[in-house]
Amino acid sequence: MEQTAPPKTESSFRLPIFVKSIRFQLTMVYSVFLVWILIVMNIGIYSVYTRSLSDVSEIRVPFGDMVAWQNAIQAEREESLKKLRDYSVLGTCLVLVVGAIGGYFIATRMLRPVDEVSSLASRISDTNLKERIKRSGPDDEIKRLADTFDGMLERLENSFELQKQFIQDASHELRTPLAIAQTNIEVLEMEEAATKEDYQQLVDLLKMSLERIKDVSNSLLLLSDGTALPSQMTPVDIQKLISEVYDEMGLKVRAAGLRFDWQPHGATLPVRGDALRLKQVVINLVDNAVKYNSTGGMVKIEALRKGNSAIIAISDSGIGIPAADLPHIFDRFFRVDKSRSRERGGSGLGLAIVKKIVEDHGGTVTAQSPGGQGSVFRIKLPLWQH
Amino acid sequence: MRILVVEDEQALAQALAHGLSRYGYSVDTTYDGETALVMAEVNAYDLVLLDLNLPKMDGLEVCRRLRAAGSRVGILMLTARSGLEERITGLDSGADDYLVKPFQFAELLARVRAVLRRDGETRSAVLQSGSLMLDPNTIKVFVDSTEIPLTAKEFGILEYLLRNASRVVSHEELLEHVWNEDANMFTQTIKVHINNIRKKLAAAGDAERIATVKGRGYIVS
Repeated sequence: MEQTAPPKTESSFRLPIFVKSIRFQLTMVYSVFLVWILIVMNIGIYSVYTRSLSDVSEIRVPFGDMVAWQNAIQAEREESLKKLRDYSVLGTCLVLVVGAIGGYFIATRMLRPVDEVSSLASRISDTNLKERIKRSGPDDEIKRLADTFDGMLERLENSFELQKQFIQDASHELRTPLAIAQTNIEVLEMEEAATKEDYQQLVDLLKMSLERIKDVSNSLLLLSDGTALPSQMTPVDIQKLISEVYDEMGLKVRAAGLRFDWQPHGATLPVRGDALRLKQVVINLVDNAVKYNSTGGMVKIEALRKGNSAIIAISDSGIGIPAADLPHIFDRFFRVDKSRSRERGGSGLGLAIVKKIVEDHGGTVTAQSPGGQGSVFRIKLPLWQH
Repeated sequence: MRILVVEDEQALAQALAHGLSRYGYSVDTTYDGETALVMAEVNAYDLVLLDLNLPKMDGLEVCRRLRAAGSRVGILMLTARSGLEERITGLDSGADDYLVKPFQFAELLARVRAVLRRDGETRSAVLQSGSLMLDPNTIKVFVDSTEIPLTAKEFGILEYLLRNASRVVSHEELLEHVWNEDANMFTQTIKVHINNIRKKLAAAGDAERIATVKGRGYIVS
């Protein structure tokens, strides 16, 4: 067990806080350094001077009172040594004072760029992330600090911008079905002779709008969920999961006039994960394969083992994806067709969700569209190691 | 007054067309930008309700091209994008007004009327000629204080004539501004409608309001 430290007594001597400031420390270092040099110099001069004086007794005086001469010279020497000592001490003190004052101003001057950087930094707020310090001059500590700060601002601004864009896109996606609902309700209200069929039609429309709003809000929730996966990660057999999707989606695929290919494999492909979410991934991809296809085409699912990974490939014979759009298709709200043609539906979040779920499971998803004819989505998930 | 509704959400486009036609407007609908541009160039619209996200060509581009081609048609943008920059870009590309979805239909109607007023001879909300008064807000027509029961088309014709009260309006112009693309109309139909309006006005004591200018058309006086 650790011993608790005795409480500090209030009476103990404490340095005032300004002593810890960089300015004060610079001043101190500067003046102590100056004084130290001066003391060394003075001691040197003093010792050289005393040594250079020969003993008075060795002085030969050609005539007169030798002792009186010697005494006079001795007194004069002592006098001048005393003067040297006094002046040295005085000079050192003077240098200490002048050095301290000078040092203080020099420190202030040296620290001015830091002040500039910090006052600029405090001007920049979340509403004004566009400003940069942009310090020019030599590549010194201050410039590196300013550059680091600029880099941080750049990243902040980008992430704010992305966030803003995301919120705008999300609100756009919610407003459209709301507008459909509101306008249809208000227009029907104006109709004096509205029939039961008119109301039935409105109800169907409202249901459709609600469905869209629900889809978007569910997707948004799923995407914004930071702690992506629920605690229970269970072994999921990919083969079994795909056969379930195959059964559930079969009707929809065939209703669109498409062939649905899936060859069940004997061997299991166990991964660790959330079965419901992984199923969502395959459903989303099959859904896309159907949406962007035309009668007579096909949708094909393959699952195989490759090293320590399970690979799921979902390919279609649909319209494919333009090469320029391939890098963006997993972005939120990205649509190849900017108009989000409604016959095909979708909120523009399907693939973003696929990517998020797969990555939450430690996997990767890639898309290919060879020659713009059909597309292949390949999911790679780490196999479950016992 | 003839309106082109450009909106790729068909359920919304149809509701708008339906609602607007109840207020005496003749409405055409289209779901993509390219067709909208062609329709706006071919037909004489008084107003275009323009969505921004459109297939083939987006609303901003449609708006810019219409203005570049010298079109003076009123353009009211409808969009779910409410950002300041987007509203500014919308207006700067040549739109007269901008309405954010979802909106109240009553506000849409008011803005439609406001945009339509801009090009008219009068900026007054109520159109008047002597004792005849037409209120586009309530789609009602009065002679003095007697309300005249008009059909939607009759109302449309009278509104167009009143909005252009200082000049002669030809048969063709009326056909273009009061009927939509679906109608296959002849000048004879206009004459029938004009006669009906005259009869109704005469019954309220305002017989000479619409004058025929032989070989050219009609004028309200």
